[in-house]
Amino acid sequence: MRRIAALGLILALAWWVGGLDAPEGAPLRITGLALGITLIAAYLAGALLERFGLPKVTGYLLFGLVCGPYLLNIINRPMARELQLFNGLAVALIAFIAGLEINVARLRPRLAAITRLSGVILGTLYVALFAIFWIAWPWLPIAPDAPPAVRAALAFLLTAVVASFSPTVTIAVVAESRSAGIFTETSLAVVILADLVLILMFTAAMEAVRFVAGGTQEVGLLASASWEIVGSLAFGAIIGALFSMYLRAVGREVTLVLVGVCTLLSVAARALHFEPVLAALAAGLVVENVAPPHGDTLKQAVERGALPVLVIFFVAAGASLQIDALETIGIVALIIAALRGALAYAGAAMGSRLSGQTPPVSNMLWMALVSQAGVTLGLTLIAAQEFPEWGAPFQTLMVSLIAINQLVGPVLLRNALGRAGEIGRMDAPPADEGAAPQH
Amino acid sequence: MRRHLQSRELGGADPLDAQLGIPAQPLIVRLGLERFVPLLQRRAAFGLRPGIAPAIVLVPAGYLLGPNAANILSIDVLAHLQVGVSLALALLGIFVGRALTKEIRRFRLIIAGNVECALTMAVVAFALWFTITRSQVPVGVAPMLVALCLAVTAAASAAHGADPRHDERARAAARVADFDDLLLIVAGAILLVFIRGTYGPVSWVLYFAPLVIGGVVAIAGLLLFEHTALESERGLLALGAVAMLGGASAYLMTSSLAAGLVAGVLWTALPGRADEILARDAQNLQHPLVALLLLTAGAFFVPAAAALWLLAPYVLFRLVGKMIGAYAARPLLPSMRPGDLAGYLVPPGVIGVGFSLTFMLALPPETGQIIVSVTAAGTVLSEVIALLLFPAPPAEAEAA
Repeated sequence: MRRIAALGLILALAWWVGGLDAPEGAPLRITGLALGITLIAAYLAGALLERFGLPKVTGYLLFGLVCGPYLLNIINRPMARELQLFNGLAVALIAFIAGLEINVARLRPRLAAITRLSGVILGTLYVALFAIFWIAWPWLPIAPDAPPAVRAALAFLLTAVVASFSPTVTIAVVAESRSAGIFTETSLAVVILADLVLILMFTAAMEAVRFVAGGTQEVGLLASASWEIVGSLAFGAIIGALFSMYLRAVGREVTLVLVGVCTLLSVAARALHFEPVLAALAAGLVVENVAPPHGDTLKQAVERGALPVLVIFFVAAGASLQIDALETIGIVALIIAALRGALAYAGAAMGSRLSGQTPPVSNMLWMALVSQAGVTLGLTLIAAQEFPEWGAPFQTLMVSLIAINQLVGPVLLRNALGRAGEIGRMDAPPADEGAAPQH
Repeated sequence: MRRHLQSRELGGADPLDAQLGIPAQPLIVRLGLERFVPLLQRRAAFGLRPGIAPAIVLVPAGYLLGPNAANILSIDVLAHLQVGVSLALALLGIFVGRALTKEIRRFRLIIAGNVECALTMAVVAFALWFTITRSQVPVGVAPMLVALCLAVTAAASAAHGADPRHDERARAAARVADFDDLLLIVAGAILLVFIRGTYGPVSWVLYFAPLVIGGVVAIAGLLLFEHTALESERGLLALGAVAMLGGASAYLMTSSLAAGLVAGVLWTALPGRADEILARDAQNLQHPLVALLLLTAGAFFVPAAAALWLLAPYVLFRLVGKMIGAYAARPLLPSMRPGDLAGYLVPPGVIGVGFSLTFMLALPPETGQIIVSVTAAGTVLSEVIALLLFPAPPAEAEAA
């Protein structure tokens, strides 16, 4: 009751402020208000849904979706745009937290098994999706009359984008639920490895489409992919090493420096055409493994303070879901989403058998592989802009697919983490975690 | 008192530093450069000890990063950073309101602070109005308006050299510096609405908008803070409350400081632990937000002729105003010599800088640029003057 009263007061204040004569330039100053409403109201919406047994993350997403520009328009387009600006920082911080979670010494014994598992999952997805898209191409709303070579290249491109996962959403759900354990670690590792493969496959697919269809850019496949992957990791590792040195040598104003590091990882990485998620992940990984005592304390402090960032991330994601795209192409997107989910299930089951995984990984890993978000959307936009002749329908299809997976994925993952008994275990002492069964 | 004096503006270590464990010796000592330590004044600023006031470092750094130098903080980036400025001001307002309510029975100190503030504003306003009209400095709007804006930014004091562990004089000076913000915040809030009124009719409601915003957010906070068990969720709600205070005020172009002050007063005065919860959780934001505020002000600095022309009288008459104010407040503070009080009050802190950034949004661009440039440079110069002319107590006193 108190929470509902507080929510009513906050919304009433926003309504009152909005009704007064705002001076010129007010839309530019709307960010703080959007931030305030988002943090308080979305948190309360998450808490409300939790009472009905749904994860808080769903509450944040639904709040963004319902209040966003495509439905109630309480968070209007300028507000949503401003919230997106925080996303770059949020993504860097979320990936940095994930890096802090990866302890190489602890992971090393399982690395070969995880690589095998990831290989089987991705192989299943790529082969099966390519075959399906090739066969079903005439019924797909993207250049149905394309000649065979173009059709093959486009099917490859569509496969690369559809098969992608969202490391950011996975990490964000894990951080929000404060999960830790074998299932969490394996899910994160698979999703991150898949992200590395995605960059390579997308680059190869774009090169293939350029070759057969004639695009506008001429960037070497190997140079582009290695710059993005190796460059991102190296850049992040350097930043992480410098931050570790700062922690050891100076150790003052760490919050301020951490904000600066995340800004650098987000802004500079984009400017240098690196992948911010990979760069921030590498930075966190270096801090955790180079300066372990500081890394552990930092991890706990950052995770405790990360909730506002996660809420903003999910609300912004919800507000950006172009739900209207579902109206035009929803059935096709729904079928593809179902196929993708089924293939992820089959791939995870096969991979688990071949790599010796046991429950909860073997029976629930697929639930961590459903989410799609920013990376997929970004790649979609790149392809759509470069090939305008079929870019628009391609973009509409992918946006619909992302909307479905974005809504379903976090709920499935949160559910799997709960069933695996790993929610809240991030706060357990390290010894407890070490006692988790090794697979 | 000591705790919230330290947390009001800049003092006190960053909470994360405390969790990680600050290295026992400062880097300068570990590098074998300890002979340079005495050259630095022992000022408890920004968690740096020994160190220098943050404005001296961050305002010039902001200029170097800003659109007039490296352009890393471009105009576009600065426009987005304004949200941080309004949040920083709301947070500072909360801490001012909290300190004020905790010490509300110390009438003599409250009156001393406001007398000193009023006299500083009067001296600076008159001196700058005279300078602008006599020299015909092109300021874009009525000279008195510019003089009043600069008077408000000049009246702020931080007294971050006054560590309350020293003695009674330092404690009294720190409280006077806290209390002088009250008049400054009220005057600034009224002036902001008045500036809007110069462009066209404004609703009288805007004069009371900070009261409404602060009041509503305070009640919502009271309903939420104490009934949330998890520390991470309380932190989120604290940030949300600060964002509502700063965001709603910025949207209406009213004073975030005033809205924060009202909320801070209510959280402290009404039953419950809302003020303690908010102070503890919001402290994580304090240093980054204050740094952002100073960097932004530095980035907006433009060494234009008008600003440079007004800089010297601004710094000089601010110093004169603080001295006159300290003498006028002397009967209320019998234990303190006027020179000591003036010395403690010379460092301007960040509230004036924050006000200059708020005025900048309300005024025409060329006028706003003058206000921010004079205030930013004046703040740095005043901090340097305080370092040189009024050294903080020696190490022995601190140890004692």
